Amino acid sequence: MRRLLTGIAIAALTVSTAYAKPGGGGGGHGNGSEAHGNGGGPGNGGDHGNGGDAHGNDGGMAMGGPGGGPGNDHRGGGNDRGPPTDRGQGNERHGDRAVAPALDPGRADFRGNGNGNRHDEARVVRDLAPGPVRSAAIAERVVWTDFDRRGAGQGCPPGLAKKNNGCMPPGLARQQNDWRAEPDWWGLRGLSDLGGYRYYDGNMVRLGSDGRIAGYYPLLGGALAAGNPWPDYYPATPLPAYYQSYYGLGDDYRYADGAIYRLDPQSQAIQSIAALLTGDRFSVGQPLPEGYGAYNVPYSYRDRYADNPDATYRYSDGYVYQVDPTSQLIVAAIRLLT
Amino acid sequence: MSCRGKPAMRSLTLAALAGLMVLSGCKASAPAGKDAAAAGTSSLAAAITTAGDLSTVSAGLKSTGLASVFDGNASYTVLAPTDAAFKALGDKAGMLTADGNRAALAAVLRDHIVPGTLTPADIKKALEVSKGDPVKMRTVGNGEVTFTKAGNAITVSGPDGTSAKFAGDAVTARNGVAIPIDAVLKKL
Repeated sequence: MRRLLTGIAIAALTVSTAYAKPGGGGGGHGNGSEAHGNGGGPGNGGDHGNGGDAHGNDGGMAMGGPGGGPGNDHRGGGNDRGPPTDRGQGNERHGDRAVAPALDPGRADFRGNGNGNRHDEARVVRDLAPGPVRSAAIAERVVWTDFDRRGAGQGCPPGLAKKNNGCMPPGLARQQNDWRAEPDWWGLRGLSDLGGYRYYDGNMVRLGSDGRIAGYYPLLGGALAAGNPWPDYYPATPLPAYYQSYYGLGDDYRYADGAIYRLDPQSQAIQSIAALLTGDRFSVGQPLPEGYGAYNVPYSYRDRYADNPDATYRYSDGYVYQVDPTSQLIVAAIRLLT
Repeated sequence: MSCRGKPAMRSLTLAALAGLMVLSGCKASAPAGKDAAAAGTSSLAAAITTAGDLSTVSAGLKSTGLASVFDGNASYTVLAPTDAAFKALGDKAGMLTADGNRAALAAVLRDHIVPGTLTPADIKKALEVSKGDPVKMRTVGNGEVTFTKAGNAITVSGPDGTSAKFAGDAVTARNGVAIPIDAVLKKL
């Protein structure tokens, strides 16, 4: 039995090793501590077919830097948009400690939830611990800032365009700037400069030279509130199956500005806000981001992930991260399955 | 074969076994520890609703739609300004809670929400470990909040310099905690 299990472990790590190889088909450009992927990376995404049972039929994780190279990360079926898939099975070892049980080894399918262009797809990072192969740890995560880069929509916000005012709300040009026009006040992730923007009807709107609204950025709780139509400018944002499960997203959901929304499958109107996210980036082998100075593991997992002399734990955006107390480096990303 | 168990295993072979557990469709369930038991079964949204002096926050969470976030599986901590804290804003409180300003209210509330479960005891312990240095925690809004301690009083500050003190017992729920504070952590 032991021999069998050892063999399995080696097989799993072989998969990890394949991901960690820099460049080349199927391997992305992992640098030993982090491997990026966006589903469109050059020469990969579809070359992982030999990754064993963790890869299934979706070609493994699409890895590599930004690019338009074809990958087979499109999943078949209906209008599913092939998202970058996240696969693999990893075992995390830190010294003699392994934290594999909470790391779902693979099966992190990305299910497209709409149609759109590839640039809207999630970019997923598979973290690999530096050092010996046997220390490899694998987790997936979404680089939310890729979504945020979509910035403001063009033209009139949904709803307003249907009103017979030529997209020229009265008095908007005369609106005085106040706290609502300061970018830092809103903390918008997709707009760093609100110059020329005004607050209007749940959006930040930008006026064109003709006085008409030329662009808009929908706001959480404003335009992006239950019952309102989802702005077409912000198309589907496929997320890993883990996120779908953890946040209870259902089949129709969207992301905007640090929040995930559930949509009505029929009307595509917003049903509810499902999650609020920090959007912070965590990488195994890298220091913990600032802003996690205190223990914040959810109640249900405190017995399992309690700080101790060998490990500290912090939670963010659906994951518990194990941190080496001495080096302060992240050594594992742990899914909280339910 | 059980899905439960401590994550720290002593060998790579056992780690591989754990992997097989997941591959076979076995999902880990949340362990029912003493902390979970103490937290009860209410959602954070429900717990805030029943808290006596957090009615403005509760109403704001509902009007902005943020309450649904706290009905789910994920865990959050709300640094919840008390009703008195909103009242102290004067006319600005009325403006903030007006129907046309729900996006602004959502932005304010968001800056008061921290990922995970962050109890007052966790904050105190972190401040002890830091030996008096401020302890920063990320919010799901714009930046971080900073905790400091002077005597027995803990102060929390927002990125814009606004600050508040803890104002009452924390409200615990199965998926988080709400800590009443005596001021709004955002300039209006």
